[in-house]
Amino acid sequence: MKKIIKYFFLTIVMVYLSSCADSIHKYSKPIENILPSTTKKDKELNTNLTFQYSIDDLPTNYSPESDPNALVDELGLWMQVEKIEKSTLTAGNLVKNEHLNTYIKKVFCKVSPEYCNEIRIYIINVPFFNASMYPNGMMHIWTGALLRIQNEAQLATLIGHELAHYLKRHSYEAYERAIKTTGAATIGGILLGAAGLGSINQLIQLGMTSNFYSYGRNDEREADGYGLVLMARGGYKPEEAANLWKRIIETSKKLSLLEVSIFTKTHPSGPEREENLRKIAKIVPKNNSEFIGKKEYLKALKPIISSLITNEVKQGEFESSLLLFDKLIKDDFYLTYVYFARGELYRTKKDHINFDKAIENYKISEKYNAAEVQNLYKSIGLTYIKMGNKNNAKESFNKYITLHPDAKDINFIKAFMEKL
Amino acid sequence: MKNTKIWIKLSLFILVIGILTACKTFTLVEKDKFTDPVGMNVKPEINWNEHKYTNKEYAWTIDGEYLNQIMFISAGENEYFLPFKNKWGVTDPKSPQFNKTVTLLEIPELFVKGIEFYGAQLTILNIEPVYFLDNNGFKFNFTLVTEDGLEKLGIVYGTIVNDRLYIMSYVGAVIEFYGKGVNDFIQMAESAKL
Repeated sequence: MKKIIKYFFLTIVMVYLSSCADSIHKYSKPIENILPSTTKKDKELNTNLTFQYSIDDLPTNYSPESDPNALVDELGLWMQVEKIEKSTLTAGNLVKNEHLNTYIKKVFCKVSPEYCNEIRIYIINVPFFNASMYPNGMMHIWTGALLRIQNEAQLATLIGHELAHYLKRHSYEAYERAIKTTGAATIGGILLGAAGLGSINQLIQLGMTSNFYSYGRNDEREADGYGLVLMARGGYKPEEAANLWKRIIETSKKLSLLEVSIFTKTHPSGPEREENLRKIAKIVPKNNSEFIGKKEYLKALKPIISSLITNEVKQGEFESSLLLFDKLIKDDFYLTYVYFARGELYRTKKDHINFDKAIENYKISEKYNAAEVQNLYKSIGLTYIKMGNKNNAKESFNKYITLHPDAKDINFIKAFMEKL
Repeated sequence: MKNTKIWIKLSLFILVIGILTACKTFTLVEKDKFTDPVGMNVKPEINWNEHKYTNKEYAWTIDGEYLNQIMFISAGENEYFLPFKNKWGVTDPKSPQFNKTVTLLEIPELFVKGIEFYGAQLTILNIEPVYFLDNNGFKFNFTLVTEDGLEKLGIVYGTIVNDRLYIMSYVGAVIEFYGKGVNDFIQMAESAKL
């Protein structure tokens, strides 16, 4: 009896430790090791990739509801996904900006006029790179993806990729696998977490425990191929598909652990994907496919640019954010905001605080357009206080008050200045 | 045999302790009586229910914490407030942290960061300078939408006294529940003493 109880305790301790060890192991792996490796068989498959994708293979009136090949679990799954769509519509982090939503819908309709009225696209305010397609025709795009995409053609690539998952029924197959491995009773909560509608806490837990977004490498390649065919047919320059993945590789070098776990670990490795897309781009059927649309894309983001940048700073990964901001500076992407954001990183990020660098970045932001970023002079003032320079702090707060007399904290700032 | 009994008793004891500590317990805070959550002396005019998260964070509610809630928060040097914890209960180092170099101006943005960690979207409406706990402090109103779309309103009072942060916040669902506690919260915040 005594032995049984001892073994029972020992087993519990071992199970607990092994689950901890597993998580620590995942977190301590370098990114390159987490990304799937390319096998010899994969390479053989890749050589044939360029001949596999034709627009004629895609259905023009696909509707999962009337699909005769529907799986047994699909009805239940459909209901759960419908619930997620209802939650999406009322979610606090749903981006409702009309201008941006109209623009993204317009890009979708260029990529796929057939499904223009069928697919619902929702922009979710989560500062990580991700997009997902649900089996009921709902697409989510996270704001972290919008900040990393460089132009309209790359947005069309992402949309085409997600749509291809839907048309090739990958999402059903992936969710069916998830039901089998996770259990139907818990899948609703995980789906909700995966949608980015929950807290960052839920996302982290999902990333640590779930292999949810796994479509399988071949499904991903297929979605890449058909996605590229779709965007090129819409008139977009096909080379931008590879450039999108190049961008992701570049900004993944200091990728947050959360992003690694929720997106990249289940996708083919970036370099492999980029190489394949470059091959396909050379032979894909073109339809005056030269449009890149950088100006159009930047203009569409303008109404939410402040929140995109602020949320990137808030998400808390100093090195990955800094790397992204460096890339955005090279792209000439809203420089006032990006330099301000770099200043905010140096002012607020624990273990990386450097007030001189913060001021240096704020000053560059100031040169571009001091009035555009509302909190610029307030942040400069706060930084000078930390540096013990009260005169410069007062001067900055005065500029803030002059430039933004209707700011919601104007009386608080004035009262604070009197005590300096 | 004797040892076996001891092992069984010990197992049961651990199990009971585990269950008890996992349960959230509330105690009644009676109206018209002075009480001092986290060192802030207040006198409620209606009955509340109190839950102690830690010695530095107390929550009061009328209808349940999701519907209306007062938070009493106190944080000293290098202490976290509104700590965001992982599934093992370990505080995420990115949670808002107070130290004596943090100025009063920075507290509202740290508070917002702490709340948003939990998936809510918070918008500050206005920030005003006020006396709170007989010291220079601030008060701000905010709107909040939870991750599942519930709209809430809230008020926060804060100050720093002797290198220690004190915050009293109230948040409630816009429909019905905010109104039930807001007046009592404001009278407590405006008369609170250390």
